[in-house]
Amino acid sequence: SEEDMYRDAEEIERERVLLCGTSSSEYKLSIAPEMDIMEYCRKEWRGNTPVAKRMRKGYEAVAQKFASIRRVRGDNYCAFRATLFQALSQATQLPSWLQSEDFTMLPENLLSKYDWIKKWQLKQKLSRNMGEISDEIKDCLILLRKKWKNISEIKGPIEKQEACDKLFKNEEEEYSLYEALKFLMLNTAIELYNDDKNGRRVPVFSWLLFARDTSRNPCQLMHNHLNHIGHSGGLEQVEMFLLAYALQYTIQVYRLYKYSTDEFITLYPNDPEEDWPVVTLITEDDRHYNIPVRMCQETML
Amino acid sequence: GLGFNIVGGTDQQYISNDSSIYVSRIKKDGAAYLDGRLQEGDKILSVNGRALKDLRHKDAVELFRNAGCDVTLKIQRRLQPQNGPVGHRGDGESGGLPLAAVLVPGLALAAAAVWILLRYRQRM
Repeated sequence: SEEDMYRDAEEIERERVLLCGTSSSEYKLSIAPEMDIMEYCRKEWRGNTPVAKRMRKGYEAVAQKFASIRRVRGDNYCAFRATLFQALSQATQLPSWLQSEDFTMLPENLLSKYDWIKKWQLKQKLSRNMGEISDEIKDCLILLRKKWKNISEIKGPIEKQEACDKLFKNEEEEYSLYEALKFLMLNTAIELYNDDKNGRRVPVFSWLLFARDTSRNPCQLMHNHLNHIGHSGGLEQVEMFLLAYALQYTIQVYRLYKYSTDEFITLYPNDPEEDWPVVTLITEDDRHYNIPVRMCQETML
Repeated sequence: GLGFNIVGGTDQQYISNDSSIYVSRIKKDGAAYLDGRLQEGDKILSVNGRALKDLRHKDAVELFRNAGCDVTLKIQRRLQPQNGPVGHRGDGESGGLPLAAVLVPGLALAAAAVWILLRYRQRM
């Protein structure tokens, strides 16, 4: 991969062992242990090309606020992985949308209104009938609520972190959660689309989302975008907005290739609601996301 | 000033339960550097007899800023391995611990229960 150009053989091997484990796929570690940000940066970006210099400056800026970085497994789910991990790491309560009574009725309700949802692409890629899709997604939503509730109820930060690490080592559960997030994005997209059609105010990104030739409406969004996430592609930027809206979280991203522009730190949504919690991610290129941890202020005395 | 940086506080999102104040960097040729005894990674237990316990970051900073000319620090020393990791955080100066080594229990160097009383005159 392109990334491997910048790392030596020993480190690639170390990471392979870390991320693939030695036994069954059930125990792959999705989020690597933390390491010092500047140490990470020095290994990744040697040399003095303009790109390398920009990246180092970018990482320095992150290091003013965060001590460590954790590499996120780089499949096409990494935006979900990074965002969800950060959200759960700091979760102290269930978000309101997870508390609603008919949360788990969502797939059934939407499928009954929108027949095209039966073309939803589940992770397994086997052809499913409508009933199975509904049940499958319902199970994913139930799992999301259960995990979020359990983790948010853990008081001690160490135990909370351990629970997150454990969840993100279990491939099957992990991918079910991403399925849930995808479906919630579809639900939010449908709401926004309908609101707009009915003359209600919608955020600007909603226009951008549906202005694309490939997603003029939620059905196209599903076929051409959501169905591909995790398989042949990741989240485009406008879809990061959609994810943030679906979770009612503000996703703050250090976009390192944009260092020294006003897009260096981008907020999804860029006009955040005050009571939405903030999670922070790092990306060098808007394709792969890692997570900064241990937020820390450093003061000169 | 005193010539060192601190991290820590109850409001900092540490994974560990420790909200103590740590020395994260010592400025070259500053008061602490010239005195020579304070080290990066040291935990500061008290300032002029006032314990640094359960303080927010900015409240700890206040305490230092109001410490006056003569500053007495009680610190807990971390032992460092002979050939420990050398890191720097960006401004071109070498030396010093990577920030994570100061903060992360797993990456931490062995902590020694050595208390040192430092008293020196800070530059105002």
